[in-house]
Amino acid sequence: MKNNILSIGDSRMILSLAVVVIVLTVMFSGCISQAPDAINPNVEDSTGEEAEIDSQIGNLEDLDGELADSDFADMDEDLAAIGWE
Amino acid sequence: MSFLIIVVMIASLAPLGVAETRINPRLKVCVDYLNKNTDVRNTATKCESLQREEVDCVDYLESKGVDDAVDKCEILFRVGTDVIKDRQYVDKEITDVVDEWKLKRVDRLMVRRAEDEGMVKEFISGLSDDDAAKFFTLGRATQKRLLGMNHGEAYGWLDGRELVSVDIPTFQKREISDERVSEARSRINSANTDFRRARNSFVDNKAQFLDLKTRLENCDSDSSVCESLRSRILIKGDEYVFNSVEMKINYLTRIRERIATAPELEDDDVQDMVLAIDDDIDELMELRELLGDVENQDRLREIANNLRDVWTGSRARGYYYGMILYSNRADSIVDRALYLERRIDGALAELQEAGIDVSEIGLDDDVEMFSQEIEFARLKIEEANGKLRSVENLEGDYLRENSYDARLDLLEAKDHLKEGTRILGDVLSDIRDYGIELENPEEGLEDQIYEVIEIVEESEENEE
Repeated sequence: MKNNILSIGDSRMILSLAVVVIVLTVMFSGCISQAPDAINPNVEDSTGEEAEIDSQIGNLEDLDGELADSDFADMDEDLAAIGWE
Repeated sequence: MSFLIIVVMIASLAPLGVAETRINPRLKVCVDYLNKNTDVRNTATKCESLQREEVDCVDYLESKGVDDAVDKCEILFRVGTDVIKDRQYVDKEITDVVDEWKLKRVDRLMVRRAEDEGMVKEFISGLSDDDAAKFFTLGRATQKRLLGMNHGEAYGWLDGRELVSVDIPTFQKREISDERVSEARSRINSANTDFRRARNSFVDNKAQFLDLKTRLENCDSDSSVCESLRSRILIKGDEYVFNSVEMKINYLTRIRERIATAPELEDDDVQDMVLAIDDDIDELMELRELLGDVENQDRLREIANNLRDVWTGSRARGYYYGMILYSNRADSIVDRALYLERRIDGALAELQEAGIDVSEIGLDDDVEMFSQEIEFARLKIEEANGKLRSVENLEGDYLRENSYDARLDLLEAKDHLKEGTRILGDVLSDIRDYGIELENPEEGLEDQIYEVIEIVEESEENEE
């Protein structure tokens, strides 16, 4: 009989273990709630937006570079001068 | 029984950690700061001691390696004094209908413009309830601009606008798939390479062409040397014009791809612009087909002249469309910045509630400068848009020259945006230092914000 049924001492041990697990969980979640920026998605997000604006301004500069048409400045004259003799 | 007691004890302990950080935001600022910048473990207890002045803050922070301990202690533990509590400047029951963060923003404006208090009070007193709600929703720079106007003019401006709730902006007018963006990027890269190659060949071939031209002028026209030069100069001239067409096609291809994949443009506009550029590229390609084996000088000259005519129109159109894209892209940056400003103002209000005087620590001034830069950028973009709109029916060199003019405004706008972003970096870094989160500050709205928009009168035709 003794082998098949948990003794009162065993039950208490299991309950104590459960309590320890709950306490550790609560403590751990407490730590998380106090952690600073590193896990704060909103603050991370704000950094992302700052970077996004920076990158958009970079895009503007790239676009201006691609639109620069100074290479074509004298080309019309060059084409007009096609011909010899 | 003992188990139940333990469970009850745990249940009563559980909220403590959270309550400790939520009930006293001022303590949270200190706890977050110590967590982030020091290796102190029991931060909440330590902050309580510092707040009660049981431990000298400056000595303590210095012992933890903080450089600017005096400033930091002042920020962490001094309660602000300049915040207006009774809002003497508001005569009506506005505080019941306007979010606190919006009122705090005007409080700070009053702190900065104490000498104008009478004028601001008079202005706000003269607002109808509806216009007051609109005024408090506007961004800082617009509020300032209205306060700088004649009151009647400012009230008129507000009357012509309405307060609406809109979805939180995505800053995009259409969605472009990643696949399409990557396809465009590869076409742009390839057009860049081809453009550079064509330009180098153009420069070489032009030099060789001019050299042959000089030698031809100096040779005896009936000689075999002269005959050989004539056949060589035709080939060189042919190549030279071919390189020129290649440059033009690749120039337009880059603009086409940028426009086709721009999320800042409306679908209909993109379609019109891309079709027009495609037509221009087709015309250039047809001319390119004629090159490579041109039979004589007259034919080459004819092709070169056609190329000049086609290019005058297509160059101007390409540049003009490029500027439209530039302007819309800059505009979307302004929208993004304005939305961020609103969230920053919400964060500043939260800091004030935690007892930090954001005017005193200079944070409010930084946000003010940021806002001002964005407003300058917005005005310059508006100016550029006016110029671009006024020339949309022009063509050729007129269109191009006026587009150049708009570009100067847009470059100025870009510089203001750049300066604004530099200031923004400092502002966000300061806000992060206090552990404050940036959120949509609108009360009662989750995925929406309030905006003040211009009332567009329906046309008579629509009314019928």
